[in-house]
Amino acid sequence: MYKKTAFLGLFACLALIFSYVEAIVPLPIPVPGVKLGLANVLIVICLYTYGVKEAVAINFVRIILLTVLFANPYSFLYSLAGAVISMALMYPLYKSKGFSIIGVSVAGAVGHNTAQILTAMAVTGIVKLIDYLPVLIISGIITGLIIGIIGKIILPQLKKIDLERVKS
Amino acid sequence: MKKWDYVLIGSLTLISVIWIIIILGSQSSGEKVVVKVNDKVIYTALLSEDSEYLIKTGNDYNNLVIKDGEAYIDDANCKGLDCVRMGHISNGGESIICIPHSVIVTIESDKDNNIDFVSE
Repeated sequence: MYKKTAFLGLFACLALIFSYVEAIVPLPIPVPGVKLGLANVLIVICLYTYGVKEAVAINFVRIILLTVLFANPYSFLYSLAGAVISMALMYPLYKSKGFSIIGVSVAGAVGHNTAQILTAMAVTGIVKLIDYLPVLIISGIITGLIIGIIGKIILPQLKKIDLERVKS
Repeated sequence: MKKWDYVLIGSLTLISVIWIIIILGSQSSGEKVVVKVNDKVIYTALLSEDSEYLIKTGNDYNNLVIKDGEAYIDDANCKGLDCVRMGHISNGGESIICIPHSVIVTIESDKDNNIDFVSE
């Protein structure tokens, strides 16, 4: 019997719940599109346990379900852009060994926020949105640090569990 | 934490902080409130004269209020009402944005004619 399927389902669900809660709790900062991106903690943890293909897969599942839940086609575009860019940054840094999980998380969060602003600019045509980029980069750094630290604490505990098969 | 983590975080922080300082520094006391929908100017008004204007975009609206030298949106039918929470603007360069309606309200001074971007 495979534990992996169950765990991946768990990761995807948790990522979805994190995204959902984030979306309905408005942030005090009145900057459009500033989201904490806390769901990324599951993606990063999945990257460091199962690997990049699985991480991309659960992220994609999360995005589809999120779009269905909010019935908002724009959310699909923004989330997809964020996910693609952030994984494109995270994977090479993860492989390169020069960065710890904290650096990888920061890169992922900053990449995600940057992609969202760029998408907003492309969709609305408002070039002035770029003024928000430095604020989003800083918020990405903070979120990335939090996620990286959480990941750093959780990973050693996960390594103790056999995530692939049930021992019979 | 490895060495490159510090490099990454340090340089990103530095770039952002410098960028923000530049943006704040280039603000001057403005005089005109400019409303753009889809990046086209559809309405302007004087910041010094109290007025209200209903910005209509299709079936949607944002209500612009100019009062006591400040401009703000006090009502709209977008989800989240980010534009309302953005508060009051009164200086050149400041802006209020409603992404769902593609509405942007900015302050421009006619003393220094800042052309930020020229669209073709």
